[in-house]
Amino acid sequence: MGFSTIVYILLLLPLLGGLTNGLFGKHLPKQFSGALGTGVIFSAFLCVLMLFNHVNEPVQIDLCNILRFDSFSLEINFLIDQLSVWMSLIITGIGTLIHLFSMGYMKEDEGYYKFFTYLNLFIFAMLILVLGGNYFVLFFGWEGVGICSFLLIGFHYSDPVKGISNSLAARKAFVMNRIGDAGLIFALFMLLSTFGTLNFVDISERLSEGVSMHHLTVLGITLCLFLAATGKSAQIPLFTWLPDAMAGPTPVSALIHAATMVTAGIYLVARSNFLFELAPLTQDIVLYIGIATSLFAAFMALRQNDIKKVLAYSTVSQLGLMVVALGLGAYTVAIFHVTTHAFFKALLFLGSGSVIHGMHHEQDIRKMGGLKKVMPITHWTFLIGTLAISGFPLLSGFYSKDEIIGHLFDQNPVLYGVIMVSVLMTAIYMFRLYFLTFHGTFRGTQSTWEHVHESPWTMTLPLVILSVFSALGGLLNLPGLFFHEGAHWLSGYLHGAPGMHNIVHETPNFSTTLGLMAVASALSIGVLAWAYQNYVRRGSVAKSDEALNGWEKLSNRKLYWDEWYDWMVVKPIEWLGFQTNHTVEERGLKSGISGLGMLTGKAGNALRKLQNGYVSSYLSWMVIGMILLVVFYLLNGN
Amino acid sequence: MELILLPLLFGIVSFFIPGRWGRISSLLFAAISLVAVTVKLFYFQPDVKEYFVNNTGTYVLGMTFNMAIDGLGILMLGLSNLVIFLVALSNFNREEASKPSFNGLLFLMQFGLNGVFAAEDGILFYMFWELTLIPVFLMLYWYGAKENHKNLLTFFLYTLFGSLFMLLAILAWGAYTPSYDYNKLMYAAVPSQYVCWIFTGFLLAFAVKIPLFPFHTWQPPTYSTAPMAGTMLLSAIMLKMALFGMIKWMIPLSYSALKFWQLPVIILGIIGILYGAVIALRENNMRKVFAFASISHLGLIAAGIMIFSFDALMGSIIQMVNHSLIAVGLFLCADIATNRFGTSDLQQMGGLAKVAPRFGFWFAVTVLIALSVPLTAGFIGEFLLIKAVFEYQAVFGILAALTLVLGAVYMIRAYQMSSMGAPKITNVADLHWNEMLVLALVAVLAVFLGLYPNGIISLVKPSIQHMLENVQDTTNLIK
Amino acid sequence: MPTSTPINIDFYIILATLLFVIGAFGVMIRRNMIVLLMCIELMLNAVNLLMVAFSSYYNNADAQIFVFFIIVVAAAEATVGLSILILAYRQLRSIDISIFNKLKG
Repeated sequence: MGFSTIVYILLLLPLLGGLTNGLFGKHLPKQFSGALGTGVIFSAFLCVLMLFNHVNEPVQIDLCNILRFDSFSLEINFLIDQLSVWMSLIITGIGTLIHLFSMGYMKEDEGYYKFFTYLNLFIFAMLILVLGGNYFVLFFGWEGVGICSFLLIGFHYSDPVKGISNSLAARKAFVMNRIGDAGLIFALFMLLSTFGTLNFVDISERLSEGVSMHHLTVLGITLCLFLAATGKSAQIPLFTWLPDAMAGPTPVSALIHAATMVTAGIYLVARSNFLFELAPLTQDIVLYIGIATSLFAAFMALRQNDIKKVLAYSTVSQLGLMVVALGLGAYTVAIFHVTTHAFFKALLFLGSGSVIHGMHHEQDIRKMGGLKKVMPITHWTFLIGTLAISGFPLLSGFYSKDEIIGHLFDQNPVLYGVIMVSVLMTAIYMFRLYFLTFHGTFRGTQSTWEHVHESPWTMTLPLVILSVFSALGGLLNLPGLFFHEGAHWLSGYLHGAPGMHNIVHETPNFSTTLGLMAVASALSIGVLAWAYQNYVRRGSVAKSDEALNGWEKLSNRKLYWDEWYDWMVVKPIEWLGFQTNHTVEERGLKSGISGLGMLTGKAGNALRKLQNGYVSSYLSWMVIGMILLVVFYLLNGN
Repeated sequence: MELILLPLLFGIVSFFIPGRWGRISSLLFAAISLVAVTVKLFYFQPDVKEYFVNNTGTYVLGMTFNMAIDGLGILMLGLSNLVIFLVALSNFNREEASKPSFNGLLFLMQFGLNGVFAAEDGILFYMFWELTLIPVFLMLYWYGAKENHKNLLTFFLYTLFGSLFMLLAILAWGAYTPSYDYNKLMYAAVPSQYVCWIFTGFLLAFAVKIPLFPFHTWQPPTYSTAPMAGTMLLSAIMLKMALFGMIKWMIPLSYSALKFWQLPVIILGIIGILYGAVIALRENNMRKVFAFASISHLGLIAAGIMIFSFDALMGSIIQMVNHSLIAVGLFLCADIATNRFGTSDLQQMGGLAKVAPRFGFWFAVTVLIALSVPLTAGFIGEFLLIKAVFEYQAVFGILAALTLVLGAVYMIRAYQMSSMGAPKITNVADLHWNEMLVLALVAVLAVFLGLYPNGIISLVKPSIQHMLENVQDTTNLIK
Repeated sequence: MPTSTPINIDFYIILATLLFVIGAFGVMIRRNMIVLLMCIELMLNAVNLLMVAFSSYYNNADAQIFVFFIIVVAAAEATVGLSILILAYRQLRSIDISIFNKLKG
C-alpha cells in the first residue's frame, strides 16, 4: 500500500466510525457502538504503526485545492514526517485505551452512542490537525477539536442540577480557544503575504535558503502562533478554561485535556520551529510564560479538593514545563514530555475516573480515603502515575522533566531555581491527592462505602497498560549518561521533521546532569516521605473551604484569577453591550431617526396654522405675494 | 427571460388559488423556478453576458428595458430563487402558507428580486428595486404582529427615503448619456465634481438597505416582529440587493469617487461589526440577537466590497451566499423556539435540545455554520474578507477578527440559553419534516460551498474581472 | 365733427388701479358676503375698464372680446355666488363670512 492510501484510510476510519454511530447509533446495541468506536481507533492505531515503520523523510500528500487565486491558493495536503507520525501514535494509542475505558465508564449513560460519535470525531479532527501539511489544514483540525471539545465538555448539558454550569464551561472553553484561533488566522494571513504558501515544507525550505524577512514580520507571526498555542495548550493568559472543562465526563478530560488536544499548542510551536528560531524575543516570551504558568498552576493545585481539579491544574503546570522547553528551543524535549505526560496524565485521569465511577460520581477527596483496599488495581496504577508525574527516579516523568530542567539550568540558573519550586509543588499536591484518596480512613457516608467497588476490566485494562508505559516511557529518550547506544532515541527520530535538523543542542556535561538528577530525586523522595508522615501517620485531612485562610485560600480560589477576568474583561464588555443597546441604540440612534420623522410632522403642524379658513386672509397673502413679486421684479428686472 | 416572468405569472395565479391548494402550489411553483434557474446555471457560459432584452434604441425618457445576466447576475438569481424556495418550504406547515395573498406576495417579491438582479438599465433597476418593497411591506403588514405597525412604517419610509437618493443619482447620471443602458452609463462623461454626489446618492440607498451602521435602526424591531417569512426575505435576500447594487452599480459607475468614500464606509462597516456583536452579547430577545448578528456580518461584507479588490470581492460574494443560508436557518430556528416556548425571551427558554433532540441537533449545526467554522462557506468568506481588510489596514483587520470571538460568545449564548440546561417545557413537537429539510439543505449547501468555493469563484470570476478592467478604463476617461 | 383730444391713458390706469385696490381691500377687510361679491365685481370691472382703454389705445379689438367674456363669466359667477349666499343664509341665518372657516387646516 502506498503512503497516501494508508493516510486516507487512517483519516477515514474515525470519521466513518463517528458517522455510523451518529446516524444509526440510536438503533444499535450499546456494546456494538462502543466496540465500533474503539475498533476504528485501534485500526487507525495500526495504520499509524505501518506509517511509523516506513517513514524516513517528510512526504507530502496532496489531496485537492480548495481555493485558487492568482496571488495564493489554499490546498489540502498532508505531511507525513516523524513529528506527525509520532503525534498520531500518541493520539490513536492513548485514544484507543480511553475509548476502551469509556465503554465501561459511560455504560449507564443514555447518550452512549453520541459520546462515541463525538470521541471518534474528535480523534478525526486531531489527526487532521497533526497530519495536515500546511497551516490551513492544521487550522481545520484546530477548529474541529475546539468544536468537539465543546460538545464533549457540555455533554451533560441537560443535567437538572449542573446542566447550565456544564454548558457554561463548554462555552468558556470554546470562546477562549476562539481567541487563540483569531491569532492563528492572523498568522495565516501574514504567512500567506510573506511566503505565498502555507506548506510547512515549503516555508522551512524557503527559510533555510535564507529568504530575508523583516524581523517585525517574524515577530508578529510567531507571537500570533504562540497566542493560538496559549489558547489550546492552556497557558497564561488563556488557561482558565481548562480547569472548568473538568465538567465533562472523565474520559473526555483524559483524552482532551491531558493527552491530546492540549498538546496541540505544543505541536504547533514545535512544528513552526523554523519560524520561532528566527524570533529570539518570542522565544523569551514563550519561556517566561511557560515558567509563570507552571508556577501559578502548581500553586493553585495545592489546595484543590476536587480530584479532577487537582489533575487539571497539574496538567496546566506540566504544559507550562513543555512550553518552557519550547522557549528554550528544545522542541524534541517538549515532544518527549508530551509523550510521557500523555501516558501518566491519561493514567491519572482514568484512575480518577475509576475512583469516581466506584464512588458513584463523588469527586471530592474530602469524602474519600482508604480506597486502596477496595480498589486495588486502581490504587496501584494510580500510585505509579503519581510517582511518574512527581519525578520519582527512573520513571518516565523523571527523564522528561530532567531534560527540560537540564536545558534550563544550562541557560539560566536563576530560572532553574524558580522551576524547581514548581516541580516541588507538583510532588506535594500529587502525593497529597494520592494519600488522601487511597490511604487513611473513609470519610464518606456508610452507605456509600458499601457500594464502592472496583471497576470492570474494560476500565482497569487501560490503567494497567498505561501504568506500564508511564513506568517505562523514559526509555524512549534516555539521557545518555551511561548507555550511549540508543540514548536520545526520540530526539534523533524527531530530527527528521522539517526544520528540526537545523537546531543543534549541546548536551550538558556528565557531572551537571548527574547533579541535577540527584537533586530532583532527592526532592521527590523527600516530599514522598513528608507526605507519608503528614497524611498517613498524622492523618491530617483537607480542611473545609471556610477554614482556609492566607495562602491556602489563595490557592483554593485560584489566585482569584477568574474573578479578575470577570472584573476586567467580562463585566466591562457586558456593561458596554447593555449601555450600547439602551443608550446608543434606543436613546441615541433610534430616537434620532424618529426625531427626524417627528421634525417633519412638527413642521407640517406649524405651517398648518396658516390655513385658517378665512378667505380674506388667503387673499391678503396673495396680495402680499404679488407685491413681493413686483418688488422683486423691480429690483432685479433691469 | 422566463426566469423573470415565471414568478410574475405564479404570483398572479397564486392570488386565485384557494387556501387548501395554496401551500402545495406555492411549493411547486418555487420548485419549478428553482429547477429552471439551476438548469440555466449548469449551461451558463460565465464569460459572456447573456441578454434577455437588448434594445439599442430607447423608449420613453431614455429607458431601454434592457435585461441581462452575467456570472454574478445568475448567481444572485439562483440565490433569490433558492431563498424563495426555502421560505416556501419552511412555511409549509404554517397557516400563512394557506393564504392566497401570502403566496401571491411571495412570488411578486421573487419577480421583483429577479428583476433587480437582471436589470441592465438604471431606471429599470430602480423600478424593480422599489417593486420588491411593496410585497414585503404588505406581508409584514398583514401577517406581522399587529401592535407593531409603527415600526413597520419606520421601515417602509426609511428604506423608501433612502432609495429616492438613488433615483436622483441615476437621473443625474442619465443626464449625460442618451439612455440609461448600463454600458452607456458606464462610459458617460460626467463632470468629476458630480461623481462624488452620485456615489453618495447610491450609497445612502444601499446603506439603509444593508443596513450599515448607523442606518440600521429600522432593522431589529422589524425583524423581531415580522412574520418568519418576512424576516427571512428581508435578511436573506433583500439586503443582498444592496450589496449586489454596490458591486454592480455604485462602484463601477462612479469609481473615481471610491477614493473619497472608501475609508469612511470601511470604518462604518468595522463599527457595525463591533456594534452589532456587542449588543448581541446582552440582548435577550432571540430574534434581535440574530438581527444584530446580521448587522455584524454585513458590516464585514460591506467593508470587503468597498476594498474592491478581486480577493475581497470574492470573499464578499461567497459570504453573501453564506449569509443568505444562515439567515434562513437561524430565523427558522428562532421562530421554532419562539413558537414552542411562547416567548422570544431567552431568559425564559431552556433545555429544548433535550425534549426536541432533532431541533437541538440542527440548531447546533446552523449555529456552527453561522460561526463560520472550517468546512463551511462562511469560513472561506470570512477568511478572504478578514484577510483583505487586514491587508488594507492591519488594525481594522484585528478589529474585524474580533467578530470570530464575539460571534462565538453570542451565538453559543443563544444556543445555550434556548437549548441547554434543564428543560423548561415538556411535550413539545420536534421539527416538522419540512423544517428539517430546510435546515438540512442549508447545512448541505454551506458545507458544499465550503469545500468547493471554486464553483462560485469560477462562475463570477469573468464578470468580476471584466468589471475591474472596465473600471480601470473608465477612470482613464476624462470626466 | 369736433375732434376731442383723447384722454391720456394714464388716467384710465390710475382709475382702474384705484377701483381694483378698493375691491381688493374690500374683500380683505369686509365680512358681509354681499359686500364681498360686490367688491369682486368691482375688481373685475376695474380690469374690464383697463382692457377697453388699452383696446382703444392700440386700436385692437381683441381685448374688447375678452371683456365680453369677463362680463358673462362675472354674471354667471354672481348667479352662483348669490345662490350660495341665499342657501347659506337659510342654513345659518347669517351672511357673515367669518363663520365659514370649516376648511381651516
